[in-house]
Amino acid sequence: MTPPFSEPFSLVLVEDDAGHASLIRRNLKRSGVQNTIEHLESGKAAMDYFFGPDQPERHYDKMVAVLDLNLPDIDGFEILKHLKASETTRRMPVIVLTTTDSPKDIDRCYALGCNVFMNKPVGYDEFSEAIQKLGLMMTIVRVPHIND
Amino acid sequence: MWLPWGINVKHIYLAFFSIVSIALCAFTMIIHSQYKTVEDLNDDTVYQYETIGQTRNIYIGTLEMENGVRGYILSGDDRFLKPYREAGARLRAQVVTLRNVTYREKAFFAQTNVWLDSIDDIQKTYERQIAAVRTHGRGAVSVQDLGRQKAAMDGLRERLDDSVAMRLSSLKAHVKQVESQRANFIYILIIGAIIGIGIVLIGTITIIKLETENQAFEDESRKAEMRFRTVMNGINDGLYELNFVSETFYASREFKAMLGYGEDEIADTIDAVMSLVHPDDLPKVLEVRRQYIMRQSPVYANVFRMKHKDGTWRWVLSRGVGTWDKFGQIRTLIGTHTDITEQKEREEEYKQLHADMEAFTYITSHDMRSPLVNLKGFSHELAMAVEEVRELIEPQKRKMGADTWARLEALLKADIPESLGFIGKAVDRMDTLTTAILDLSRIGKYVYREDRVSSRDIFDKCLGAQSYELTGKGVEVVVGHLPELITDPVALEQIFSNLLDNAVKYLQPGRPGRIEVSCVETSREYVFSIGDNGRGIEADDRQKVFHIFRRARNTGDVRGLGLGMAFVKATLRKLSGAIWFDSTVDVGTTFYFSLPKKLPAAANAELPQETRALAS
Repeated sequence: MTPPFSEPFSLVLVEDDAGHASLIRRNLKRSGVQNTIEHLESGKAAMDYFFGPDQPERHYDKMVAVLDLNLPDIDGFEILKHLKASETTRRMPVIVLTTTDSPKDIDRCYALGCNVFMNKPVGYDEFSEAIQKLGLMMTIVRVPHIND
Repeated sequence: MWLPWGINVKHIYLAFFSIVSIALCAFTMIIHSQYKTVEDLNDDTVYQYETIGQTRNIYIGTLEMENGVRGYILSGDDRFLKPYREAGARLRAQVVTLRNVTYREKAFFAQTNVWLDSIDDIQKTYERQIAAVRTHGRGAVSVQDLGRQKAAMDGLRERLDDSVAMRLSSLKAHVKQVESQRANFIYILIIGAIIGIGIVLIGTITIIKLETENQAFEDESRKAEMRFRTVMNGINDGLYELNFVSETFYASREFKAMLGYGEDEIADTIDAVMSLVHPDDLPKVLEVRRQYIMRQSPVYANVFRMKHKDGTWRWVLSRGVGTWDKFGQIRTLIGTHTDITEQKEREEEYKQLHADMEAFTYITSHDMRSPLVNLKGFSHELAMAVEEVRELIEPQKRKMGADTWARLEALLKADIPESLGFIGKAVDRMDTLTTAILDLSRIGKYVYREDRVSSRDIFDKCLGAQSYELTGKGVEVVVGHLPELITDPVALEQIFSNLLDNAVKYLQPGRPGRIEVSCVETSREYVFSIGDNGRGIEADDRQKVFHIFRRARNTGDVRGLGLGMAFVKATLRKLSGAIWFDSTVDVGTTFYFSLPKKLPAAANAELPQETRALAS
């Protein structure tokens, strides 16, 4: 029997708005998330991080991606599509965190295979509450165990 | 002339021809039978004359015999006996011949027998006289014998005369009959001619009448075509007829002129015309046409591009009407081409504008909201940081001195939080406005359903939502008859709730509120009214009421953005309804809105995804 996999995982935050990234990071910390958070500032950076030639050894088994949709260069839908199409990354949980709340976008994300869709509330209180709840969830989330 | 049972002029001509033919045949037959009667009479006359002649011959024969015998008796010369013998031999044969000829007359047969007997008798008398002369010499005939002979001759003559007289009287009767027949014949000819002329006259009149009507009809249709052509020329539409049987294509002058061609510059074939259709549009054009031809679509309307002679593409709206044979095969498609290039360009422009607006609202709602999160977030962070700073410097209070501390205290406790508070409020307002713009833009995209709904139920729901306010202000709500109707329930709820909300919000302070709701049904629409005894709307503000972000001047004490009525108006426009109001300041306002009567839709195609609320 496989033992439950409970090793700490790292968060990859794909977010073009540095302010948002900072606020997310702060609020996650406040809710007690201790995991390392890697911030990627553009769609291009994200694509390089996950599929670039210089990172062949990276393992995605202890990682959760938090993805913004409105990225100016390569948008979140495209990144999500690639993540879920690639054999190396498709088991990695992907949380879409975006200002969009259009039902069409939500449907599209789930159709592409995202695991959680979250709305960034504009009100700061709601925003921080949402992020902190996400943080609380993170502390109990278990990621898939990928045997290489 | 209206002809029943699908009879046409041709049938009438044929019927008329038949009548004339039949009449002619009947006439010919009557004439023929008349002729036959006369002919028979003539034959009979000839026969009678012949019989009379024959009878006379017989008589002459007996006279010859008498002469011969008499001569012999007087002269004793044998030569006199020769004609006697010849006449005797001939006489018998003559009588037999006569009898044979007149075999049909039974009575006459007996008569001839009597004659033969008489002749026999007379011959015997003559033979006896001849024998007496031979024996006793000439003149030896007794007076008694001569007397008997005379009596026999007289009897025969009398009988012959009787017969001839009888035949003559019969002939006379014949002549009379022939004359009357001749008169009949003339009458028949005259009557026949009159009837014939009558039939021909009636027929001719009928034909002339039909032809005149036909001519009138043709004139009328020519006039109609003229009118039609004038209209066609006037509106510059091209006319075409696509003939699927002969595979030809008739195109009017305007049709060709629309594409810059002269009248004889495009061949009258389907291929020549179809080759001018834009290749990208061709499959759709053929598909739309096929659907109409197969009667899958009730009307034919096709929109496509056609190549102008100058090389540009023209948008064409093709409409037409088909005719099918009894097997359901298409025969012709007749219709018009309208140049809609201008409309199409405007439509494209409009589409572009619409797309721009959509992009704009998307940016407003998403990209503009992103910085707001930062503003709000970091002002909060700042507030927390200030709080932390205050806690950190608290112990240093004494070292700083009272003045400095008081200034610091004012900054950290009043000025900075106040600034942050303004920032926060501005962000909230900005957020509300962007949300409002987004919501307003969504009205255009919202797909309206058509359900049978009870307006009473929907209004009660709105009352429920407002119950706290209503009870708090002690408002009396009077609900009149509210009907069941077919409309979008979400939209109706929006309308009711906005109107009710306004009525409650803008009541006159210090006066017990009273709100009345009712509906009047006309033949074409429902007119709902919501009246209040509130503060009313000033005449100068009448226009402002329905404008976005605008409010009436006497509403300052009530919070609001000036959105509700703009939403209501936009929603009603989408529902083909209307809204207006009557108002007197300090007395009250009554809003009216109308919704059209609709028939229940066969099926609600598909439920729209965006069934969320339009606005609040």
